[in-house]
Amino acid sequence: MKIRYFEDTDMLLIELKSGSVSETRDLDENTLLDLDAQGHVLAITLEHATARAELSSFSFDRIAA
Amino acid sequence: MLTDDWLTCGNPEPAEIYSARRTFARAVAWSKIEAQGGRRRQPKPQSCTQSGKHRVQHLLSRCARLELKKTKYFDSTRLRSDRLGIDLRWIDFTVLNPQVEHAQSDGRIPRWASIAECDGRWLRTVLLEDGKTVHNAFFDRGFRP
Repeated sequence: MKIRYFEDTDMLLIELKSGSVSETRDLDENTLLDLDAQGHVLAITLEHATARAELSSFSFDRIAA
Repeated sequence: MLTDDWLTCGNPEPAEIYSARRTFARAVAWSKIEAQGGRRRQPKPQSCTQSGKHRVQHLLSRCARLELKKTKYFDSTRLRSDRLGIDLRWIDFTVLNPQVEHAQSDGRIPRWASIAECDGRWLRTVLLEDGKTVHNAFFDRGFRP
């Protein structure tokens, strides 16, 4: 999984897993979903990320089983 | 002379591109009608299809040298398997000759054009507010004009 933030366009790209993107769909005007051939979401693109996500406080927690 | 200036939003399409595009579009439309058994009322001009097509290709080659600006997001997704096959000239064509254009609330400009070399699939390009920088480009499977 990879998360990239593009400062020039305020865009957040969340790549859930690698794979061959087959189609790009709109969830809304500022959200794009990249799907593989089976319809699984491979990546999510968020436009105007600073208004929609708290980028300054990003964290990742892995909770042990 | 094609320059970056006329890419600014609001500038009219140069007459030479408009004329060549219409000539080519008419020739393509008549070809389809004739393929289905239709007939022209008047004899087809011998040089219509080729001259129109060549003029559009010539103008497209000039457009390609304009080198529209690209965002870092565009460059970063360029090597993806679904984007690698998109010819930059198609993106230039869609930007300069859109068949459909919307206005987004954030000022960005999505434009769509049907790409003949890809069986008429619709290519969506998204320009930033300046109207000169390509931010995104992909084949929009769900688009219906």
